[in-house]
Amino acid sequence: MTSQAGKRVWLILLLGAVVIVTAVAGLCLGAERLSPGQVWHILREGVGAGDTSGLIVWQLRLPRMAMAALVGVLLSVAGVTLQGLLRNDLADPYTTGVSSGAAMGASAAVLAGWEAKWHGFGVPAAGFVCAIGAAVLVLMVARREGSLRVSVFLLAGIVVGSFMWSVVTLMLTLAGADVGRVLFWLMGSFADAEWTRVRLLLPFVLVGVLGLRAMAYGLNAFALGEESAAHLGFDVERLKRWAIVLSALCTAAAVSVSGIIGFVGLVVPHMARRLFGADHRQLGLSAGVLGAVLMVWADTLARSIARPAEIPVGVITALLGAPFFITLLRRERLV
Amino acid sequence: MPDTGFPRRVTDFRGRTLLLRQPPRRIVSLTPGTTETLFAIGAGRQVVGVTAYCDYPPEAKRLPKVGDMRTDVEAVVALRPDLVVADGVLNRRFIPQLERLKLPLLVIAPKSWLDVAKVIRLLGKATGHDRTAETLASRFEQEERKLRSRPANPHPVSVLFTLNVEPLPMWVAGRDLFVNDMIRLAGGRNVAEDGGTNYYAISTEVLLTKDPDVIITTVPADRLSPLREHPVLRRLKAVRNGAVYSVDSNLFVRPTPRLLKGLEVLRKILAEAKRR
Repeated sequence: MTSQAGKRVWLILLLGAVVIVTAVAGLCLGAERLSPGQVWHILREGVGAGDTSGLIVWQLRLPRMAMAALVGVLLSVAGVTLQGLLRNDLADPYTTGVSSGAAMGASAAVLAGWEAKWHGFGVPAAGFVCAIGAAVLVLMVARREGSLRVSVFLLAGIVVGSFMWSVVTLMLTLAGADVGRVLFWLMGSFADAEWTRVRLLLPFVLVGVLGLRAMAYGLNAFALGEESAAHLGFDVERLKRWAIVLSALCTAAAVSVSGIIGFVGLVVPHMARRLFGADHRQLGLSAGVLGAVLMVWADTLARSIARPAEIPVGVITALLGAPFFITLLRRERLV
Repeated sequence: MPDTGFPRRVTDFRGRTLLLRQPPRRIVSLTPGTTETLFAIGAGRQVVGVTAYCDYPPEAKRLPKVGDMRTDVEAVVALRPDLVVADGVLNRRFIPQLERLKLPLLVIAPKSWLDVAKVIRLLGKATGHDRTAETLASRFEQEERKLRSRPANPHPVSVLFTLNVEPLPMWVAGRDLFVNDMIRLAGGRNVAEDGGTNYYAISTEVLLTKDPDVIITTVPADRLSPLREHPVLRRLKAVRNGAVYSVDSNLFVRPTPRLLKGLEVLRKILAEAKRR
């Protein structure tokens, strides 16, 4: 037991070190290289730092890193919740149709020229509304006689998701010259991060992490099976409903501001469970931190390696995530 | 009326030779640029099929459609064309199919300012309008010669040409585009030239360090408010000085004689920027 606890302490220290290294790397690397000393100087000077490097750090890199981190947390929390609820290792925020809904809404908004609407919130707002719409649709399909069947929910999510995705494809074929902009949005990017958007995301992150913590006992019981959880005295219908609402909210918030960023919501819950154990009481936090770190690294690569061009961050997460996930599966002898 | 001198052989951008026994009377154009050029050299009345995007000159809009950016090959065949003009890049997916159907195919693939002169001349020769085409084509070469005869400008106006202002990243013109050549011909310097060929997503950090004198965009003027509201973009020299110009994209992206008009627009913009 003590060695277990000791291992835990080391892990937390290690994670803390990784977070610091990530923050430093994220601030120093990019299309314009800055030394840690320069960054330190700019940070001490405060927001008012007026020259180019000051603008880059305060108005481009920091909001961008903050947004990447928050989206990383949101997707990881959504992933943990769904994998716990569905007791399915392959579930991720995108199997529920929510992301396709967001993609549909946002693509339509980009094509309708809403980019400048509502001070730049036209596209995210359309994405968010359609994402929630998709979640409601999936819930309605999966519900019968007041009870939500988990296996049907998964299938309904996939079906609704592919339906909405085909609408996206249809819009893309009809889009003509705007295809590039829609595609870049779909592939995911934090390039348009601003402090206003970070502030907008923050409440969702709090709700996500705290909500998952509140559901932790229920989800732990759920791991034994739906029936066992019911026998243990949990209101399983309520748990299912809230778990789905929570994951849909997190995913919708993440996708509507950053586009489709794959694999983080799938891989991070697995990593967190391997490193810190499967107890949902700590999974929200541990998966959240891991997700944030991974996302910041992915975005740092996306904005530095192709200078002066940008790569969509979704490309990086998929490039790194897929091989990583395969290794993980091989280790667990699942394939 | 088309010049005489048929039958004649014409060689397209791939180096393939096509034998035309008489001036073609049933031409199908597969890109808006080709349609414009055909009308500009006086071959408009020989055109029988265009794309849904062919909106210039207005007469072109009334012609039968053979698809949009995706070619409707069946519709092309149904028009029984005696000449099909395709773009090697925009129509590349459909060229093998058009070839298998043994259609009289001419492929153009203009990448630069001078290539446009080549296209105009080639279409002139293929349709029998050699003289009008020659006049237009030579104007492109004149502009290039004018630039060469001038001493190099040590302080060219730095220019960014972008397709969007929001959401970031901006999609900007790199190398191998007509607009890149046009900026050079107008006496400016494309700050995004070193980033890649074609249009690409530029890092906002780089944009900030390059800080162009002038931003030219295809976004309409009434949709430029995000530039002035964004915490970083509003600090750009061009935004602060009001040197952001909305232009008609068709004068800059299509390989047609109208690029000459685009060049005039660019010259005016750069002259105004210099006066500041």
